[in-house]
Amino acid sequence: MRRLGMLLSGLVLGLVTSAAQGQTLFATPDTLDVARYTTVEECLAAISRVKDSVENEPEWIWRDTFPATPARLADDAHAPLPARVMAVARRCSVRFEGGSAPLENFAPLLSLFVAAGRDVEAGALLARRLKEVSPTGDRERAAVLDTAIHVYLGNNQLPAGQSWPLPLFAQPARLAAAESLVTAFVHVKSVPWDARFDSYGALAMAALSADTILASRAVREMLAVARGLSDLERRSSAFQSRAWTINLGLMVDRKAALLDSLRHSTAAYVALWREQWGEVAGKDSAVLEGFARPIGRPAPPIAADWWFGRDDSTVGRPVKGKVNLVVFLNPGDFSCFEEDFTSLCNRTYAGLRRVAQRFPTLQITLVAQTYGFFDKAAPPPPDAEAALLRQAWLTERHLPGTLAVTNTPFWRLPAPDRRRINRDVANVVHYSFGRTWHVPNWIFPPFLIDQDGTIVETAFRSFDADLPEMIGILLARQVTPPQSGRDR
Amino acid sequence: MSGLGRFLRLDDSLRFLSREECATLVERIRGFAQGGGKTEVDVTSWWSGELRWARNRVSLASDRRDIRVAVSRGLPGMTGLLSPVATNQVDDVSLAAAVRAAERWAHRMKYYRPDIVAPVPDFEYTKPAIWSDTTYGLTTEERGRMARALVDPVEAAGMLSAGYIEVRAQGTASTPQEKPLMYAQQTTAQCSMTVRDPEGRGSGWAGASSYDWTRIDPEGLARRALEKCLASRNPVTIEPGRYTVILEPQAVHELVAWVVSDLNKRQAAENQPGPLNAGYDTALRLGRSKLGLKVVDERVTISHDPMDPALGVIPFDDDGWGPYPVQAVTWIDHGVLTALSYGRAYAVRELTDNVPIAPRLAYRMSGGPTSVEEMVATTKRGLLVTRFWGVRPLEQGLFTGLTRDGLWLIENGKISKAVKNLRFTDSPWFLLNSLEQLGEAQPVFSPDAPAIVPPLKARDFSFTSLIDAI
Repeated sequence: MRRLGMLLSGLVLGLVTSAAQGQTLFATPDTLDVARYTTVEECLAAISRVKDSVENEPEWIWRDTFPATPARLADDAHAPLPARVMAVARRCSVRFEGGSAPLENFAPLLSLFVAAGRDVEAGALLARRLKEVSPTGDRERAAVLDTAIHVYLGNNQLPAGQSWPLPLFAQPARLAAAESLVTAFVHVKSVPWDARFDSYGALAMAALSADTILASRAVREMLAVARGLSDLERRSSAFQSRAWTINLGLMVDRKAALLDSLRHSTAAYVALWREQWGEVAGKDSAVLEGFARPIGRPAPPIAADWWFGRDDSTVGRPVKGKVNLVVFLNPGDFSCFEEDFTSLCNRTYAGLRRVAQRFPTLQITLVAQTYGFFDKAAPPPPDAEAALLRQAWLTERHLPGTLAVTNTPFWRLPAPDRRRINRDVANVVHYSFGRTWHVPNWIFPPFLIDQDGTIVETAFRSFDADLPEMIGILLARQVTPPQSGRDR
Repeated sequence: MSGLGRFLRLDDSLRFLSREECATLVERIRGFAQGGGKTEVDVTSWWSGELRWARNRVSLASDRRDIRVAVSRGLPGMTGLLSPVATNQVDDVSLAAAVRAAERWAHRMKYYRPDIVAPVPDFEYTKPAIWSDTTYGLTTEERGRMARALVDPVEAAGMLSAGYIEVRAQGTASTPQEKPLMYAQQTTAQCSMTVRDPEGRGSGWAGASSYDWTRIDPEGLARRALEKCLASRNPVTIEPGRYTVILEPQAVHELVAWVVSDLNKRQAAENQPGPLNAGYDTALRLGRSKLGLKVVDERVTISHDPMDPALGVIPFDDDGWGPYPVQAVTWIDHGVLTALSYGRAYAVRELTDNVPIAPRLAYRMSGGPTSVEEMVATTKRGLLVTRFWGVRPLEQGLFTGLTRDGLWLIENGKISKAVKNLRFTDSPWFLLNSLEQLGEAQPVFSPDAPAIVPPLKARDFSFTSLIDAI
């Protein structure tokens, strides 16, 4: 018995030792011969690994010259996948042919062919798959087309916040192919309006930085879908959740007319925008008021317990007679601290700094409030937290403007729960409008306010898109007032 | 290769790293750091000696050990707690490589990581009873002799046995935010065995675990498993349905452990549907848990005190924001939910303080005055359950699993016959709301975390199908 135990001990030790010695580090790029991979899943995994390693190689550089879209993302719109990634995809896909590969692997194979740049094979595979669908199989046809659209656009975002389980590598997006697929998709009878809307929306988003004419066309079709809805459909949550996209779509579609009207007066801009929105939202006042942006409303004064970076303590914010930008900083923005330089937050910081540099007379007010903690520090006293907010936003992130911080009154749930419940502060209450325009719901909600204290605009794709043009117009108007100022 | 490499060899007298060895290792690692800043190191080293047998013959005897060194680097001007780089190689080249990798990660992080982190609270961590020289000293030969002693009576009775003995020792060290080294060493021991009729007509089981091998009575376990096997032979079939059940402590533990698991998730209890979720408060715009509400029978109290001699655990925990003490907690007090665990992140952001409640699976469930014999005597028709097996969640709060190693029908206050195993589909939360009687709480087999649990009698426990397996 004892001898057996010792023998087994030795055997186990030997196995452990040899296994440890046999370990090798996995090095990137993929050091294995991917041409030997036998399944499409292995190929997609290998492509993902190499793509990740390639994308993570560049050193991040802290500078304010970030373009509106980081270089990597901007390049994505036009450039092919990095050569190393494509090479892996090509080597790995050699054993598959679009004309003969098994159709049960349709979606991953399509993604693999697109990653490898073998678009002809992808087309052949898609054609075979569509041929499989029976003439009465509308739902199946729609599903196949929908999958192919996402693969060709490289779009892994689904409306419900889910993402595709399939890695997508369309870089650049195959816009022409995707447009024809979208056209086929929206003509399938069983496709509901929201799916049609989203398809045009995805096409528009993919085309925005690569093919503006195609993007405009897709936006127009998207808005046409919205305009064709019944009042009942407009009251649905599906419509409400797309109000933001509709707003941006209107700005893309009617940008020239809207900016022309703003050159004339804020009132003209507001009137034109309401007319545009009315075309989409219908005549239902609940829809009109509930989901419209609060443009044309008077901008409430900002209250604060602590002001930082304010030159003149006697002047209120927004500054009367000046063009103002009011930006709310929410607690959700703390998550930005842990993101990398290509994150939405850091792009937004850079965009705001660029706006301030370009328009030195623009009055920027950053609005914050205390929460009883700051990032990972708790519980700082309110004045210490306000100082931390100043340090984080003005000193470390170099955000321009005046920082207004309100001390947030709160109460606690009784023990044993004990959670802190913040009461609403005046700034948030005053700048929340309608049912959906609630300040804490948004990251960096900005309000552009004209010289007369009227909210001109609230929805921007970023601080670099549309906003500078509008600020420029307002400032020019300040210098050269329109001839007829009656409707301002 | 430095001197510490010797710990990877089996024939050394030290099988895991002592406080002094950890301190030396930490200093060596800090010596590899470049560019200033601070270096945080966590070291976990362990040894395990095990013996497994089946069909009355030893099938495995081994001694194993490993080490995990996790290194985080903070560059000057940042105190962020970064994800560590881990290695189990302690030679100079490997440690230096780990430090370099941690520094590369820190460089990538440094630009957007604020220099603001809640300080690790100053605390004197307790020193629970979690170390036993006897456990650490149980040699391969002694484990072998023990197995022989367990198998012999079974073999003599013409039965088959399978079992497992393991003794384990572990040293855990942490160096949080420049504070002095925190270190704890712990032993654990377990012994369990199943006895089966060679013709597959009956099965019995018994097991025990403790930090201290002397608290385990292997011969008693063998006797019990054999008795259970003999008594469970030739089971009859009964209809599935709702039965009054008398659950032995092990069976109770296999259900209540899931309750304790739920108690360790305050955020989930507030934000996800489940037995401890009270829904979304639209007025306050936040999810509510059932804290402060009665959730089980008022005779039930579930608590944990690391200083309880039978419930000791490593006295500090770390959720990524730095270590904090494991303190005594009463989760459920006379049926009322009084605490749910949360880490420092939750403490800071939701409670705006810095004092978390450490999660843990060790627990004590309060008992009652009734013996199992009395429970049986007061039952008109019911089932006596030795333990459950394969318990898994179906949906929030609902579980399924099988009875195993001894299930008996009780009729008119007496055990009348062994019955075939059944599948149950029920909730431990329902069980704890359907109590009739509770017995004296006692340690159960729970190698991962000690537990003290009573036997109980409950009504209307739902068995949903018949299982052929013995």
